[in-house]
Order: sequence, then C-alpha cells, then structure tokens
Amino acid sequence: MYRSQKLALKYLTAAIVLFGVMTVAGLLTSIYYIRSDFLLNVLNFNTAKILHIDTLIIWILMGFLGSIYWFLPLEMEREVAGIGLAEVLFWVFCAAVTIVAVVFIVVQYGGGNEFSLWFINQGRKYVEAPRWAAIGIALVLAVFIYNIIATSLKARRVTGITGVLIADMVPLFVLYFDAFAAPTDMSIDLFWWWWLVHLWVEATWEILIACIMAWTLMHLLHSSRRIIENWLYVEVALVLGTGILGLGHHYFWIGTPSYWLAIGGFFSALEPLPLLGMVIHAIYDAGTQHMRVTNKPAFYWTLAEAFGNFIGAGVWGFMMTLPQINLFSHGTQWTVSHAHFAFWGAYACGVLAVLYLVLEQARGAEEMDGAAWKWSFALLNTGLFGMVGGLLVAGMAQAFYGRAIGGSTLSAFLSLQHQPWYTEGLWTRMIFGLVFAGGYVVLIFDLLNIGKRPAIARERVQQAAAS
Amino acid sequence: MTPQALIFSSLLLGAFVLLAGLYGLFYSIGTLRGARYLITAAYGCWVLQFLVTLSIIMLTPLGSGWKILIVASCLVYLRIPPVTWRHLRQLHGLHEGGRLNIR
Repeated sequence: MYRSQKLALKYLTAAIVLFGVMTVAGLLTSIYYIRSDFLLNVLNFNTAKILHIDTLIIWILMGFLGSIYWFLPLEMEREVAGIGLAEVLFWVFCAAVTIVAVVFIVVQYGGGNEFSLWFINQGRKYVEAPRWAAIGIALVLAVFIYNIIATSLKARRVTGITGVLIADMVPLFVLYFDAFAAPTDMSIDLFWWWWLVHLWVEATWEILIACIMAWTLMHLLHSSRRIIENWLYVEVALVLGTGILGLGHHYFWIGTPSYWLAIGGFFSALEPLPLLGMVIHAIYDAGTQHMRVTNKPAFYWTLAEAFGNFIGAGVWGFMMTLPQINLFSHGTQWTVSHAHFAFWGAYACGVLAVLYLVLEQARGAEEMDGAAWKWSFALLNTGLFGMVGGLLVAGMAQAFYGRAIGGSTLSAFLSLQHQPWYTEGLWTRMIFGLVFAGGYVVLIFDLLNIGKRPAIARERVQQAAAS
Repeated sequence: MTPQALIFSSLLLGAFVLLAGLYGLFYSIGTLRGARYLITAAYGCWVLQFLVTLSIIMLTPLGSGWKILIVASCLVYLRIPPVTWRHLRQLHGLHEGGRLNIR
C-alpha cells in the first residue's frame, strides 16, 4: 500500500467521524425548532447550526481528499509527490477542526472586532471558521494541489481524469480566498460570498465528485478508461454550462440587480438535464454488470448517488428555482429540504461508495456483502427521505402562510410557529433524523467489520500452507 | 401570484422533472431488458410530462418566457434517453469492440 493510501484511510476515517458530529449537531438543531428553550443558556441554536453545516462541508471535503489520495497513486503508478508534507498537514487539519469546534462550543461568539474574526468566528455561513483556521485550510488545499500536479509531473503522465482534476484545482483554491473578505456592505458581501458557496458546491465540487466517481466506476465495474473519460468530459461541460450562471438563483433579497433572477432561473432550469443523463448512464452501467459485482455496498451507493442527485438537485431544485416561486421559497425550510437532498445525493452517497471500495481494496476482501450495509443503506436513505419530506411540507407552509399570505412580517412569522403544517413538518424532520442517526450507527458497525472475514480466512490458509 | 398558485405551480414543476426522470428510468431499463411494456410505460410518463407542461402553460401564472422554456425543455427531455443511450452504446461499441450483449 502506498503512503498516500494510508493517508487516504486517515482522511476517510476523519470524514466519517465528522459525519457523526454533523448528524448529532443536526439532531440538536432540529430540536430547537420544536422547543425554542432547548439548551437555553448552554448551547445556543446558532452554534449547533454552525457545527452542523460546517462539519457537513469539512467531512465531504475530507472525503474528497481521502478519495483522491487513494486513487491518485494507482492512477500515476507511483507514490504521491510531497506525501510527507501532506501527512503533517492532515494532523494540522484535524487539530484546527477540533480547536475551532471547541471554540465554537465554549466561547460561541465575540465582539464585532478583528479579534473575533481571527480567533472566534468570521460570521459568514459555511465559512465561519476563524481566519487562522481558514489559512490552515488554504494551506492544506495548496499542498493537496501541489501533490496532484507534482505527482503528475514526476510520473510524466496526465490522464483525462487527472487533467480535469488539475484544471478544477485552480477555481477551487482561488474561490476559497473569498472566505477571508469582510466587507461592511452586506449586499457586496453576500454577492461575493455566493461565488464561494455556489461555485464550490455547484461547479468545482461537481467536477471533483465526477473525477472521483470516474475512478470509482473504473475500479468497481472495470469500465474502460476511454469510455469513462469521454463521458466525464461531456458531463463536466454540461454541469459547468448550466451550473456556473445558475449562481443567480441565490440572488434574492440581497440587493443584486434584477437581471440576475432571470439568468439564475434560466440556467438552473437547465440543471436537471445533465442529471437525467447521469441516471441513464448509471442504469446502463448497472445493466452491463447484470447487477452482479463483488462490492455491493459501493455499487448501491453509486446508484444512490445518481438517483439522489437527480431527485435532490433536479426535482427538488426545479420546484423552487423559477423566480416567481423562488421569491417566496427563498431561505425557508423548503430551501433546507432541497439542500439536504442535493448534498446527500450529489456528494455524501459518492463518498460512501468510495469508502466501501477503499475498504475492499485495503482489506483484500474477496466480497463485500452482508446484512449490516443493507440496514444502514435503508435507514440512512429512509431517514434522509423522511427528513426532506418533513422539511418540504414545513417549507411550503412557511412560504404559503408566512410569506405569500402574511407578507414576511414578524406577526406572520410568529403565527406560523403554531401552524400545524409547519410544526408537524418539523416534528417529522426530527423523528426521521433519529432514523438517519440509527443508520449512521449501523454504518459505523458495518465499516468496522465488512470484508474482514475472508481476509482473515485467507491469512489462515496462507499460514497453514506456509507451515 | 396567489398563495394557492405558488404551491400548485411548484408541485407541477416538481412533477414535470420527476416524470422526466421516470421516463428516463423506464426507457433505460426497458431497453436494457428488451421489455416493450417498460418502454411503453416510459413513453406514458413522457405523455404525462407533456400534460403537466400543458397544465403549467394554462393554469399557472408563470411568465410567458418561462412557459416557453418549459415547453422547450419538455421536448428536449423526450430526446435525452434515446440520444444518451445511443451515445453510450456507441462509446462501448467503439471501445469494447461491441461485446455488449444488451439491446
């Protein structure tokens, strides 16, 4: 095993731990919506929410880094260049995440001054990490980019997948610098902040996951490289073509020019088109394998990725993306429903597929199967579907009663808190959140055990043969 | 837009994309298995999608530009599964010597 792959295992372990933190913080957050005095004067709602959404970003990002550190040496047929530095920075990354989380929980907030920006909280959603930690993340990304480019140069090899990956690294890194800005004009701030959030999630991350899934399909289904790379180019072109200017679908109520609404609506209305192509591709690949693979969990999570992405980003997104609807649905639980589903389908399922594939290879398993992964697959997906269903109902009630009828007034907001459609939607979200958490527990059990037995049996046979 | 129209329009838009997905799903599985009834079901889904499109045009207060976009999308969705499938078959045929034994 390459050192890079050992590092990948560490990254994936850290990712799955943070997945757990995200789940717990999400459960806490869901309780605040039902009991507003929950953990009063102990842990405020904002902190729980920050932990939930920031660990979401970090666990997915760590999952990406782990996946690429696993596949890159196999792709380049050599150790990753600068792996020593990457190993050191992994621990720096983990330490920074831990310190930031402790500061969020213990200190929670500070004054409106430079000290708070540097050491407590930058105060902008998804990139709340204080500046010192944000510099650390930028450093980790810089070394990661160096690892990829230098490995490619030393191997004197640029494959289609690594070429796309390297090209993607430039916007991924440059856009992150937006995390450091602190303009005092809120419109300007939000205008650029969306560049970071949207263009990471709906452009650069889409390319990252496309590259990772390309490697996954090659290893899981033994698909031909040329087929995979041809399809990768088509998908990347379509995703970027529709995703970049889809940015405009966030530009509501923040003072941006109104032409952005039409631009955003138009391009995001086109976003489901490539997603449908991905679903058809997934079915085609599944058909070529006659649903028979040695790593069933990885295979099913790959299928879940294609379908979840289509439904979460495509169906849920299209329900609310046209400007006349977005005006009302913007920033409600409806948006939260879409975000949960889209993140789950587009990224989380993909990272889980890679995790099972990596475990198969790392443990030398002959077959990855059993009951536990099926339970975790069913519980996680049922839990997620129930949560987004509850949030959708609550969000529609919020848009209907609070926005369209009540006109977004404080009194409409307060009366909404007793509206049955709204409250029952939030209860549903919390109950299915527990189902999801149960799925996470089974997932951990499965990840610790799956694929070990055949390897142990084989080792015993080899020892017996040797003696 | 009235509150009722807001919810009604968004549900129609969701159904529009969901039916496109079902059309793609049935078309792919039907073609894979050579099952005519699934392909018929696929086109049935597209017909439903077309009816949803008509409903969006006639019953919702969306702007005319958006309605034109939705009609155009509906027509594009009709072509996506066959074109994608043909492209995939062509790719596999080119790169794997046509070894695939699926329809």
